[in-house]
Amino acid sequence: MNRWLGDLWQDLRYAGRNLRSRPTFTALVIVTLGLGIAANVAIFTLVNTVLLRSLPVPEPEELVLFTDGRAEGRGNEGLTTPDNEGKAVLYSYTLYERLRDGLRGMQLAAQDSALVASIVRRHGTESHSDENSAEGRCVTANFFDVLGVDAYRGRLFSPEHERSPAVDPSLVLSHGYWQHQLGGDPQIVGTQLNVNSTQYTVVGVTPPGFTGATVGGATDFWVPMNMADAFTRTGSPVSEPTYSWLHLLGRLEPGASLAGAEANANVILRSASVDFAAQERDKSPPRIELLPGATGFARMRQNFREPLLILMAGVALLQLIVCLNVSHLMLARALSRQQEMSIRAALGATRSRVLRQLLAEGVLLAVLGTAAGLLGARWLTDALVSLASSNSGVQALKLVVDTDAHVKLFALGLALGTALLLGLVPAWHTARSDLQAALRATAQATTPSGSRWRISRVLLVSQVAFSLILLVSAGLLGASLGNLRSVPIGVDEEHVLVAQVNLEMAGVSDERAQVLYEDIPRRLAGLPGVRGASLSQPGALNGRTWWGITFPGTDLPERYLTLYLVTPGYFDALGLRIVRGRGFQSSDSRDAPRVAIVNETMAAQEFGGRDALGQRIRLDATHDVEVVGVASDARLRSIRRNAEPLFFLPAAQPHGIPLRLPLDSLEVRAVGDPLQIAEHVRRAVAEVQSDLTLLNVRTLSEQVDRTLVRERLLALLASAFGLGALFLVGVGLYGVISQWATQRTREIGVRMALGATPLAVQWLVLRQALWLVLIGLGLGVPAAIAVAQLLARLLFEVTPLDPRALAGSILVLVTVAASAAFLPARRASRLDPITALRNE
Amino acid sequence: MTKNEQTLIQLEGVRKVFYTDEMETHALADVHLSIGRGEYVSIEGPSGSGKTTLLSILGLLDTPTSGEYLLDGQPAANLKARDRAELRNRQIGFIFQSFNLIGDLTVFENVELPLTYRGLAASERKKRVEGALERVGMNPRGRHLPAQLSGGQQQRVAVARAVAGDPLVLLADEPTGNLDSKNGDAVMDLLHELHAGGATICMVTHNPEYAKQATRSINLFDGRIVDETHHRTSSGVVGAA
Repeated sequence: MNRWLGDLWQDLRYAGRNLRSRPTFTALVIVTLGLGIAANVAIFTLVNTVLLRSLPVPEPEELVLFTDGRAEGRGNEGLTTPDNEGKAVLYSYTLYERLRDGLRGMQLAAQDSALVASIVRRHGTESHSDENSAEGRCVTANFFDVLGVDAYRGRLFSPEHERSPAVDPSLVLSHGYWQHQLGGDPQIVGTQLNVNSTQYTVVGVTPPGFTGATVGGATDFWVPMNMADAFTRTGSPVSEPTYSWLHLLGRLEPGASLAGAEANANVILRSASVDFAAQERDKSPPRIELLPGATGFARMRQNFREPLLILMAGVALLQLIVCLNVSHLMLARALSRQQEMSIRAALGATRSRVLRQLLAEGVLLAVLGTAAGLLGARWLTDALVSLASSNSGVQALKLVVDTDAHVKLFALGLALGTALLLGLVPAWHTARSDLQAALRATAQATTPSGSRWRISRVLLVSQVAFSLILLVSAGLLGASLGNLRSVPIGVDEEHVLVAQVNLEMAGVSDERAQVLYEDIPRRLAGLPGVRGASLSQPGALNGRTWWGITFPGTDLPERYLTLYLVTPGYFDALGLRIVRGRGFQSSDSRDAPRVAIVNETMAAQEFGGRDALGQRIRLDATHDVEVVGVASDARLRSIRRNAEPLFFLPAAQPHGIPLRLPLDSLEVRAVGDPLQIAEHVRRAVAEVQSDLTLLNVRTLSEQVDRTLVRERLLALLASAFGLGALFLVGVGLYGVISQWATQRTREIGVRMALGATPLAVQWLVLRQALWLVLIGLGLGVPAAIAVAQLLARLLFEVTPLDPRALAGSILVLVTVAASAAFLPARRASRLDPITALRNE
Repeated sequence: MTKNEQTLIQLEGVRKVFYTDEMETHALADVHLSIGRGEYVSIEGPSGSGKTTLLSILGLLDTPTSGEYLLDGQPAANLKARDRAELRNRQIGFIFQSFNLIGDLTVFENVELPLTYRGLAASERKKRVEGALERVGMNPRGRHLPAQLSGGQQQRVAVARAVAGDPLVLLADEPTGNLDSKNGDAVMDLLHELHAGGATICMVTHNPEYAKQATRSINLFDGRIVDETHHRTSSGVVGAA
């Protein structure tokens, strides 16, 4: 053992000295490996965070998520509603209670969707206070018990926090929020905090690292169910049996099975459907599917799963190219050290000992490359998180990344794999080399063996093929992003300023809100340089509200359609045209006949061929509205979707939907550059009511960009991978062709002596490069086409077989290859034949 | 060979054929050779006569196509690569024409290298390396890199490396080929001293004067031993075949 360790130490010592004596080579390899490893670790960290990492709670494998077992693509189903947090669906509190009480072998908890709230902490006097926004959730009192989380400070919720009227509103803070926003105040427990104008007492703090049960949305605080009405401001969500707003999370008790719990849950669900949801009878019955919940809910998982896996595959391919490239450099080094290895063999080193020496160098380089890569990965991960977290909504994604055991294992595996790949090629070559070279004085000057040239060619052809895959993928994703960005969305994108008004955080009452809905647009419309202003719910490209409607007096089926609550100036403010009928007017007041405006698609599709104008829409038993206008189509919900049927309701009239829907999205259309009026708009809103502020002020064009974060992330990284691969191919080809030309100096001299022109010599060298590239392309084209099929679902108006992407990639590769080979070709063509002929 | 000399190397009917796509080349053809313990043999012959091939086979860097090779009485013709490496390490010391010191290693480490492969303890290695460097007068240069030495000094280090492991036989391939006459003479003096100290030496050389310093000269031509001459030595034995 001692001897083995001693040998290992000596191998590593020699390897270290060897690398130190060739600083350029060593630096080149470390930087190349470092970049590859940094990219791999960064992408894997995202994959781990979004897809793999377990919640930081005891026995996370016992957790289960309540999801919908039916096919996707349904609308609102009453008792359960599809949600964007993975496959999870929303459940009503009533159904939660039934499940909680009826399920055997499982504890059940619930949380609502996160809300952004304003938290104010007053310091003794009214004049001194801190205010900041935070993301909070309403949870059942047993939420922390089910997750197995204990209080870090104070206590967590107890059963009295469930439904009994709150005498003393309580909240629990996350450790991160307590530390970063409240300075880790040791006296925090018992402190009063004002959340959206309601006073709460801090009862406890969760442990460090715990950010809730949702990946991509670190929760800052939690309030219990007995504060649901005040916190969610949606009426009485707890007592409304068909209002779905909760995500359910269970913990299986020892001995209980997932299948048994699922069957049990579905029996309870069916019984509840009959009791509470008569409107469900004609539809496909809902079905609960329980899924392992160790990784928690993930707001990002649905959207980012496929892109992340594709990026992971892409970056792995890049790493393979990096390894091939570095292997090539190592091979060249091994060749230059063939004499040394022969000497070692002559002195009694066994082949395995010689191989171990080479592997030691591979390992050392891999370790140094990994160290450089891990340093780079921290920076790159932060950049990626920042890129992935910027979305269009008020609630930015908060991705808390962590270098956990998964990431460490991945980095270790990557380093070992890289070390093996680096050492393998030169080791294989050395194993086949001639040990008697040491006895030949001219060994170093001899032409390298054919096998070495073969290995070089195989490495290079592989690199070309892999690079083509990355380039074609980057081309397709880039074209897709370009198409998305250039699709006309049907509004005056260039001139519209959008923002959120902090109506909720300011605790504006419903009555006051109605006044503001008139005052704010009127005040803004009067500003110089403003063509129109409005408030709406939701904003353009900023979420969705949908509701089930029927068409009274017809046999048309119930439809769940997207709706917008808007103030009268909405259509002017966005640049939408009223193509028939009229727009909303100030006369469409609370007591006036109720009206709606539909878009062209809805007018054409939803009224059974009848003229939409004058048709009635029923929102609930007491709220029929008449269609008075048809607005031009626009991609208000998503620029990826063609115009879909949707309708608009005036803010001043009751809509009959039992939800609180504040019109907190502001749209202002400017005559010129919308950013020029931003400050005026901000001041004008504050003049209407001093505690109103604007959040997320940006142009609509920027809003569009922010909805493309996934596409941009993919296109950007795929392009970076493609460029990286291209660079490596260029370097590799330059090296191979340079060596080829050097080895044939004498042959070239003979050709020149026999009358070959410099052009003919250049072509002789270039031909070698192009031949290798052609073989690489021959292998790469089918592979790239196959990979492009996997991207099909992510592409927008680009086919996977897009000839421009393929031809462009081939052209770029051939150009780079020709450029890389041109230098050695030119050098060869300038050889002095006499000198070359002396060179043997 | 005197009667009291024990046979150290014995080749019986050794052939070496190199095959290429179009032809086969007989580098060695039916070579019979005995070298006694403590003998100093020089191998001469024109280019392509098989000198280097013979030395490769003697040094276990290559195997014969057919024939027998006994090293210290043990069959060595068909050993596995690993066993040959071990024998090479323990029983053979090489001195090359182009010195073949490893440029990244110091003089001390170069001499230490075969001992490392043998798995000797560090203290034992140090003792032997210092002893070997002392014998060739290079002890003060132990920390130098080969590039910092003259050609003659490098070859002395190479000799130290060859003898550090106390091999049964020293194989020298044109040891003066890359040296001027003064340094060449110095290296030959060193070999002579080693031989006087009991070393068995087998040396390939083109230089007839140096060849005469050996106790026996073997002439190769077209892969065969065509002539063998015994020279007068300090032990007084003379002969010719």
